[in-house]
Amino acid sequence: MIIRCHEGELNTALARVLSDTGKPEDGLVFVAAQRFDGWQAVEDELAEVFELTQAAVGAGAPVVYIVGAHQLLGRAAPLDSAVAAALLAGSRAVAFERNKYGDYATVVARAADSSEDEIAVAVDLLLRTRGSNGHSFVLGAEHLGAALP
Amino acid sequence: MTTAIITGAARGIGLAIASRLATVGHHPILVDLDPAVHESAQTMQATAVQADIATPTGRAEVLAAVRTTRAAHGGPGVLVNNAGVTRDAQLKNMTEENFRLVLRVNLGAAYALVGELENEMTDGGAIVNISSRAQLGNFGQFNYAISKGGVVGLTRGLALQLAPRLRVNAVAPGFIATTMTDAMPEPVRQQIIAKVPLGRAGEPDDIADTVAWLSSDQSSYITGQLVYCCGGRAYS
Repeated sequence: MIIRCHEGELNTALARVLSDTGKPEDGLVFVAAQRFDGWQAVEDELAEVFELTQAAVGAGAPVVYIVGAHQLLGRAAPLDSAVAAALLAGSRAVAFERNKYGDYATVVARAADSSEDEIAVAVDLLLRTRGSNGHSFVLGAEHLGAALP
Repeated sequence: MTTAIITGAARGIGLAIASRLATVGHHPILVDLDPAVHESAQTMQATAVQADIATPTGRAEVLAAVRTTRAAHGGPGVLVNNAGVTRDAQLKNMTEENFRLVLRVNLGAAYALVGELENEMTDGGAIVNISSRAQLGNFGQFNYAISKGGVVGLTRGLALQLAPRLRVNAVAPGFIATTMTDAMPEPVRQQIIAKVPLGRAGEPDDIADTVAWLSSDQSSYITGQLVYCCGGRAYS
């Protein structure tokens, strides 16, 4: 599995639960970066998503994107929100296109009140159950009452 | 009234939006790479800008047109980010070049144009971004879905950032009858239409009416929303 995560504690938690083999045929967990300083950074981030997703999906492996729930809601800088919503749409596109092959893609939307360990456990659970295929899975209670997609 | 800037306005949905906004009194500024934008603008005594908004030079031309028309028609009260491209392919066959191109035109240009024009817009103005029902998932459109999903997120982020001065909403068209869809084999068209609860393809005017409403004072308490204009297909 490839784990692309720039956050130390979350990376450690994910690696503890998942097997970071560095091989796309084992799957992809992509944690979206935040606080983009301009369009080029966004384009490069999403191009990396494309490259890693294409490799994983080409090998018939599952894909999990992790984004901030606040980003999905728009409670973030516009470019941060754009990236999160783009990844949700990307998971839907993969799930839709690859459904007949039994492939899998989802998005975990994490709130600030969800711990790194909880996120890792949720990713592991989703990979095992293939839940929320092509939909978002929301962690944390921070955004209760808001119109999360 | 005010000026209304519509990108991708030479033909199809963009042209229908420009025409509709002209009928309610806006002075449209039609923006498109396609030289047909000049002829389209003439039909409604509008301003044409033939430019590539995915480039800084192209966006500068739009800004110049806004400043030129300000004295006669007022500042921009409406911005419709409609310009878009497709480069469909199954994910396994998609190239990074086409991934980046679709992203840059459909999402990057919209973001950049808002940045250029937000301070030019009149208080109480409205931005309408054209997304797509395909952001819910569509075959062979990973790049397009990502770009149009990004437009939805951009809309929400901008809505909160620019409130209360400007409203920002998005429209997600479904299967719309255009020259592109007219070229499809009839059995394919019928197969798609059979999945639409309202039993027909949408018309460019369906999108134009939705955009006109979201641009008007009739929707003055609405911001950050995505309106699916797809005959119910998003839920069927």
